[in-house]
Amino acid sequence: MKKVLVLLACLILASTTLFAQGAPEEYPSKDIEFVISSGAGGGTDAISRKVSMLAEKELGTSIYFVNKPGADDAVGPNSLMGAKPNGYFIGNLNYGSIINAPFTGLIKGYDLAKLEIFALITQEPDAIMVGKNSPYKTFDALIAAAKANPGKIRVADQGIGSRVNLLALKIQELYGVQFNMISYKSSAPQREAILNGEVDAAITSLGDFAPLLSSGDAVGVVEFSTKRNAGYPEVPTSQELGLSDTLLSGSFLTLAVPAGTPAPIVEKLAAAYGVATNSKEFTDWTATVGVTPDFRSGAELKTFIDTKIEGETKALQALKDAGII
Amino acid sequence: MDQILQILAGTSVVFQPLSLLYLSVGFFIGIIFGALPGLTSMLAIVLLLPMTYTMPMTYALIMCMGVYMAGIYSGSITAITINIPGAPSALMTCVEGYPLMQRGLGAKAIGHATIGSAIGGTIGALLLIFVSPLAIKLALQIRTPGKFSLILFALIIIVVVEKNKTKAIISMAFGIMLSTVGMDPLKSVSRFTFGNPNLIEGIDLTTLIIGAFAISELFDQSTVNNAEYQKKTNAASAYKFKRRDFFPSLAEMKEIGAMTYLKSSLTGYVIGILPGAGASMAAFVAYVEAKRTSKHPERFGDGAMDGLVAAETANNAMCGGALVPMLSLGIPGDGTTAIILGVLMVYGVVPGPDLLVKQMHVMAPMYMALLVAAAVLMPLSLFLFGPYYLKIVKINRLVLYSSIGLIAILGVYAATYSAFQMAIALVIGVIMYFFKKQKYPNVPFILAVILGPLCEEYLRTSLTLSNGNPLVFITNFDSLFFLLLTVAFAILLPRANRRAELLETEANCKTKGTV
Amino acid sequence: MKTTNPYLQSRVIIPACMQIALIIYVISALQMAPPIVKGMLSESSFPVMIFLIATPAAIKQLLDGLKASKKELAEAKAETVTKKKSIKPVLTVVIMAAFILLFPILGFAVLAPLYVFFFMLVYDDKPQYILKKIIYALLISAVVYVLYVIVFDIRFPQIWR
Repeated sequence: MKKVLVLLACLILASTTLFAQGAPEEYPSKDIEFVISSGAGGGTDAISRKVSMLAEKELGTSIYFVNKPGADDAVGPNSLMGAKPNGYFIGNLNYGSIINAPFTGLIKGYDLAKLEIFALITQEPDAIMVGKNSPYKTFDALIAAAKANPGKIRVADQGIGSRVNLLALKIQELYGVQFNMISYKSSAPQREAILNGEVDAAITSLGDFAPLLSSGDAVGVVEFSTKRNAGYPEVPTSQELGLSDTLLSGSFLTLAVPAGTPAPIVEKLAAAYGVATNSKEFTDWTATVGVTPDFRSGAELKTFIDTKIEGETKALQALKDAGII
Repeated sequence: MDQILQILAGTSVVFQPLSLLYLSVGFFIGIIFGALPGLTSMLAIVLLLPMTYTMPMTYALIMCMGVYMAGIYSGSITAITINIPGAPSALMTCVEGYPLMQRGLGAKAIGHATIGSAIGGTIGALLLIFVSPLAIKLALQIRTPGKFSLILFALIIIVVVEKNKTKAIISMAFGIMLSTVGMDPLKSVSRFTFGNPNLIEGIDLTTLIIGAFAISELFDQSTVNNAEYQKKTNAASAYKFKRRDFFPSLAEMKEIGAMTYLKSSLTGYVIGILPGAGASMAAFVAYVEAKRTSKHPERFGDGAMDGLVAAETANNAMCGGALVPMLSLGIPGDGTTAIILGVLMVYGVVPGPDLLVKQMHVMAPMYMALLVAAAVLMPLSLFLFGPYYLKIVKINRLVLYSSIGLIAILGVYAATYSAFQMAIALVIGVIMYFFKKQKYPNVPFILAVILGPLCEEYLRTSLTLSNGNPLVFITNFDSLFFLLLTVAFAILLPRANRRAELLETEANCKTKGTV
Repeated sequence: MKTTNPYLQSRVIIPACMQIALIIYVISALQMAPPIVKGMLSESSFPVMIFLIATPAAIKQLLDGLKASKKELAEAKAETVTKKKSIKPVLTVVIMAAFILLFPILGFAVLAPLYVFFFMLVYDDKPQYILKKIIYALLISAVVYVLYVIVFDIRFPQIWR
């Protein structure tokens, strides 16, 4: 009986080596693995899948997805850092993976230098939203109310140390006001809190509040961006209101490969994703979810990332020094 | 009204060929898993969970509904034919069904069980369709302190309905401990990782569920002696039944009485709504009630058809009930709905009123699927496969369990792409195996895994809302209501339980006596 | 007659281990932060609550277990403990552990049929029908492969990747 087993094992081994023979030709010659930094079903997941689906056509190969959520969107990029730099492993990085994760140092050995970020796909600016019956429908009214009642205006954020929490803290410092900040886990409970009047205002992207904004149950007060959102043109931008540029805030989605991936491959990937991001199908789709396609690569991208890291890390450090986070 | 219309629109989705296929596949899987002792519909959904990752959510949910309905019903098949309940909820069916089998009335008993299940399931599903829009309207008003009190209510009730309350607490605490590993829900810090970088991502829900329900079961089943098992099943398949034997006559159903069907359905539905009290309790309470009001209670325990019908009607009516709090409040009514909630979470859908208001088009087909499974598939399957039901137990155990062993462990990989999570699933499986040997209930475990993190999140959010003042739970009307409800149930349920337990031990002895 | 120590049974060991786990859990929680920081609940508050709720339950269960063992000892019916225990659950654990350990290296095609084969071997009453089992193992692996990889598009490690 043992002989049969051994024979069987040999047969299987032999067949596997046969498969392995295919010599690498022009890139890409096999499927590409895409590591998504968040769980299935979220916004990051949807954008990554959508844009990759379009990029697949340009690359002429298929891309498959692996969701690795956790630890401020750092688990996915962390596993990408250990992957082979051959162009068959790509992944996404967003705000948490670029700003929070290196700052908090939750994962040992997490270092952005181990990755090469090659494309910015979308941006999603943050905004302040209030309920339809709220007396604070403008930014000035909200700040005035917070000044008059320190610690009484309740603002929904997404947890201590989160991006939107940071933004609220920046506003507090800039205007010398004090909010009562309420932590929610994600935008879904934030929406419910606005609906049942548990909080006075919520900070997250306009897209997260899409159903409430379109039904009129919530009103956008200000979007912290420089250009009005195509999906919600009635919401003023912070630049129009003359607010400080340090308040510009929002999430974004970038793509990366492990450092050391050959330059021609990176260029090919960037070009494919560039076409995908600027395609009509993608821009139409993003309008429905409230994010803005904003493709950048090369030196332009590097400046974008570096200014983000510098600005936000400084803000985080200031808060840490003050003992707030 | 609006939502009821939307639900009706969901009908068209269910009747698409692909949906019907998924529903039938789910139903078929449910029949097999429900009928085989040791395997439950819950386990079937556990195994399907990682596969649903790449499926559109609507189909995944439709399939789950098929498994759910069929799994609870088909437990009656082995209960009647070989006196082993295929699912725990079929215990009372054993007591009444096996004597009937011995008298050569097995086919009739299966027929009555099926029709009863179909009626109960249909009434439960209809009530779900008409009541849930109301439940959602109310649920929308609940603020965070109220949500906390509601979860507290659920967690306390789960412990109260268990026989051994300290074991239930330990099982629950273990679940909560595991669910707190990883990132804090409201702050950028990691907890309980003990310096292991792999633990930062926490323990995946799929890992926990497969470890606790599938892997531990595989250890347990490995000790079953195949030869003995075969002997038992051979005896059952010696009987030959014709197709028409299975269909009960109208006169017999009249004798059982419309009241029995209706009362059992309502009992099952209401028990389904209670968190943690699942199909077994529904069947049991309905059985006791049927015995109390029966014209010939002396027949109970020796093949009373109305007792069998009451139990089977109630446990399927429970399905509709258990989905009400799961969908409107995010509180599962039993273990299986807890896993279906896991399926929703995999799709990033946050249960609660938000879900039903925004995603009604996704959820509506699920309601209809439940209805179709009960009203159409159940009688249909009896007609088509009735005579083969006696053969289900003859499925090759080795093939079945080794397939489950492979699917379960690969399921963890498919969900997490991590060998580390597979190892955790194995460790949890081993621990839960010992828990099970010592009769620690596993429903508190799974509900704790799902509700524990929410409980913590709501507690902390509530207290930031009130600037740290714990009185917020009493001054908020909705929260106060749930707290009072908790107290009321905590006092009333144990009393009702004590009476039921006495009767149940009696029934247990009887089953053992006849094996 | 050698029997297992009546106090070293799972009815005693489980609550004891649970208590130890709870203590480690609460210490690790308190190392992170005190339960209340600036009047607000911190990340360790909930774990501390769990500790406070579960500890009495674990202790009660432990005492119950000890009492039952004592009673058993007093009745001198120790032979009931000697009921032969099956090693099959242990073997199942070993097979699974081996599968998990080797899966990332050897991949699906090599490991799955072997795993299913040994699984069936352990599950059967005695080693018999070996050829039948090999065929089943290959068939089951093929079906599961089709299900996961082709129908649901999930990639498993393979020895050639």
